[in-house]
Amino acid sequence: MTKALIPVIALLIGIVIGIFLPIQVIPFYARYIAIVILVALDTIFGGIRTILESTFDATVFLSGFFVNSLLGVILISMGDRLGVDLYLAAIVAFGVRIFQNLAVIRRYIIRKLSLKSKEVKGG
Amino acid sequence: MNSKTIWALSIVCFIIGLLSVTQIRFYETPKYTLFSMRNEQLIDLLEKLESQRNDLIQEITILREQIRQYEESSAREKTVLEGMLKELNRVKLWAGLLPVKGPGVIITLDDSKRKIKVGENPENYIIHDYDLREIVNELWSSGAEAIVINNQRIVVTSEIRCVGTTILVNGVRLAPPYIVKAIGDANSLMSALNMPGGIISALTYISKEYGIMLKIEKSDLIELPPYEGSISLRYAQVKE
Repeated sequence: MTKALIPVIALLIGIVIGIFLPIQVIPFYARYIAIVILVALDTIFGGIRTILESTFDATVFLSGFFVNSLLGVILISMGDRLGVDLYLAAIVAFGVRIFQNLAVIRRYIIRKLSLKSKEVKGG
Repeated sequence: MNSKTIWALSIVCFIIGLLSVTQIRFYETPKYTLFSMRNEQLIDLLEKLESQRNDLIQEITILREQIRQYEESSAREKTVLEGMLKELNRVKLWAGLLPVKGPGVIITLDDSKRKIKVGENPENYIIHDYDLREIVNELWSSGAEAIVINNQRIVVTSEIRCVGTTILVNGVRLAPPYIVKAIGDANSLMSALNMPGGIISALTYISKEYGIMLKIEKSDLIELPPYEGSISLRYAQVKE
């Protein structure tokens, strides 16, 4: 179980480095970073879901993150050029997926908890 | 969970942490958001046009008077010369080539003395060229007749810009504290500066938050030095 803390520590390290490195976002890139954050969240929830379903594959997981980020970035820059807010498509798609994955994770945990309580009652 | 899983999750978690912080900091940096004040702007415009019209009417009277004087004095050369000298002085006064005195306001600005907190944007702790530009602009638009920043008289060719860490006015490097002095109707200058959503309210916010120094005061008598730079023009010629 201690192993599961490593990603949390990685998150904290990321935050600390972010605070200490004086990176300045150019306003133009703010939307690009936002979409990458969204993709990363989507990837994390998708990853947790596949771990619970024991179908996790690190290659699929990481390639999904990079390819989705790339697609999001391409959509934004294309949208800027075409005058269509294409990034909304990316935001909606990833947003919906985050909620769906969260729903699956939630059901899985509830099922596990209710099984446990039955076991306790049975014992 | 094997170590590959952990590492893959960790990488993405790390990226989330890093990007979130930079993004949050970007959105927290205060920006000047001037409220859109349509009605007020229109009223302002109307008042300006009215005062412009009155000025023009006055100018017509003055010009007619001048014509009359020239006609009268055409016989007497001495008077013409005197008239021209007077006119020259009037133009020089307007152009900022003469020392002037009068009532007005004095605005003192200085960089923050506070120690910059970790993760804070150091840009919030100093006075910028655009702060001074906004103030000068506000002063001109509210009827200032002469403006000086740290002894640099603002004239038609004056620039206010930032080079590296210093601010240049008339090509001269200024050091903080920046003291902006303006001659004009002190009350209307003050009220224009203190307009809600204007530059001073933005700077007041920054001064509360980050400790930059900001002081505005009325003065009955301000003395301003003249512009001392070159006034020769190379390209612009009078159209006959």
